[in-house]
Amino acid sequence: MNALLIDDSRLARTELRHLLRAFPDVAVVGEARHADEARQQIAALHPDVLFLDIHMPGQTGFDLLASLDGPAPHVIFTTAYDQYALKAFEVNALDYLLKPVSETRLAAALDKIRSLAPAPAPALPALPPTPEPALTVQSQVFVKDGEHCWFVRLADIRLFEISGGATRVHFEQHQPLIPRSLQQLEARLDPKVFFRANRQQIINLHWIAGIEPWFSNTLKISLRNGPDVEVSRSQSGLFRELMSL
Amino acid sequence: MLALTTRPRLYWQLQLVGWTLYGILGGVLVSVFGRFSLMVVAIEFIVAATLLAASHLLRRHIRRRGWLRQPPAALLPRLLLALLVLSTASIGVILLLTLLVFALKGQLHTGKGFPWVQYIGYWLNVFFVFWGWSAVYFGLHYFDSYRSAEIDRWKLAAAAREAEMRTLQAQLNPHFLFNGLNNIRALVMEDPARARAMMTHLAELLRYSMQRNGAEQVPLTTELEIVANYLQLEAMQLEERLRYSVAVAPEALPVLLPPMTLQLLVENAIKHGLAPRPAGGSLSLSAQLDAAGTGLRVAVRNTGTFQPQPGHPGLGLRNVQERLGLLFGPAAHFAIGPDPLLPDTVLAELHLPIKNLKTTHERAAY
Repeated sequence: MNALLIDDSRLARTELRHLLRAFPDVAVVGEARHADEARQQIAALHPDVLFLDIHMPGQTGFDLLASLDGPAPHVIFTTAYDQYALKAFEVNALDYLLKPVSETRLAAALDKIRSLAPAPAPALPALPPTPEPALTVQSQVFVKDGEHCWFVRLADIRLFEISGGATRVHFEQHQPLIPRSLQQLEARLDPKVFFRANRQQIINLHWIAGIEPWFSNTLKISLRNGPDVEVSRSQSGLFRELMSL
Repeated sequence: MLALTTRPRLYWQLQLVGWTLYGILGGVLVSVFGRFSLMVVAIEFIVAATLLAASHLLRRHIRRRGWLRQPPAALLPRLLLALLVLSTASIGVILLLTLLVFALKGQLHTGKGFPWVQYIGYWLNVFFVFWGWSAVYFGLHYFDSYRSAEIDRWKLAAAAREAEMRTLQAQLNPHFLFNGLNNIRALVMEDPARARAMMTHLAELLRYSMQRNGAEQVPLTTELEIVANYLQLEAMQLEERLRYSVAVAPEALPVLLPPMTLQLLVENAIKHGLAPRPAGGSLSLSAQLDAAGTGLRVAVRNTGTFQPQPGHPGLGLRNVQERLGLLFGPAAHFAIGPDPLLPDTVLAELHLPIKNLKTTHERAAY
């Protein structure tokens, strides 16, 4: 398991490195002092897990995660006193360690990561221009809207919808807004699962509850837990093609 | 301290003494300008007793109708009407009783005409006496409620000040504390001697922040030791990102100031100025007496851009400001903003009076 340590304090990184020596399956492949460095390191090293401090000069750890393209790596937050911010998370698919870190808590956090699916989208170093890792249905993404953050599996997202210059993500009862265009998203989503229904919306085919013919040869698709989506005329044809045997 | 108007015995004492004096005064005047007789005593007794009874009825009316709580604009017309009626009724009763006494004595003047003008004079007299009575009655009540409101305000201000002092008592930022402990843990392996020194700095800082009570003041020299401890600990976290200098005039060292004041300014400069910058920056602290020698001037400069967040005044700085306000009143000045002389620098300036320190201190302790 390759780990990247992200913390602005050199001593804090040293300390974590020292603690991780007790776990032979964890290799610390790099260190970063702030979000910019971390982005470079993540792109270059494709770590399996990030040990991520929240308060750093410039962007916070949350900002860093929200800015990452591609699937979110496993993340273990390390913080001196932000457990309240972390507990406010809507989805608890993350772990956090309070500094100074206790060895047993660290072991438990690593166990949790080992028990999860294998490291997301391991990059193949053989391919020279590493393509941006595509998102699979099982990939997790980190979504940040104002003060609220979520780790969301793409499988749980039923709808992406244009809202102003940004995109609204529908999952569970949440609809956070993310600062990306629908085009950007469409390019990175698995076309076998995510379908562009019209100019404004991309739907998750796994969430379809019903399909009915609509006016002038179009379709209306209702999603589980709502809403209904009208498919444009051209896309309706495509949809029929995709769905037919 | 008991309010005057909540003592029923006082009411009766005032009533009896007041109306007795009124009766005696009337009797004396009549005797001086006319002729003293037992009849005069009897009539003055009738007058005083009637007016006492009438004013007591007025008091009952005032209390039942809640006139004490009415604003003057609503009260005055009602009082005017009540006093018109009361004066007329009182004169009627006095007239009847007087006639009765004369009749009993067999001295009824039947031949003479009724002296109407004289009775209008009596009526006016009674009317104005009732106004006087009302003035005293309402006056005492207003005085009482004013005084109790005043006392409430004092109590409230004192309680608020005490509570504020308690909450404003600066505390160590938990972030700083736990990061410090974590860094020391790493330092134990890397540089044990420095780790030991850091542990001592942290202990000093903790002790200082725990032991101070809100109203107490400390000499600048003590505060500077704490700031030095704090800077050492921050340097452990920020390393080459923090460069600092401290320049204090020796004569400023004994000046008293609220504890953790400089500490908060330095902490603020690091937290909002240097720490958010990946490259860090520099901090300089200077303190000296002003030209007249009556005030202490402290300046903290740090690399950074002054960006107060709208609607979110910094807690730490407000803390400093409020504590200074409570201790020194308007004599203390605090300002923060971009340094007018140095680019890319934030300047926090503090001016504290040195004189009257003792008295303001005592006032704050109240």
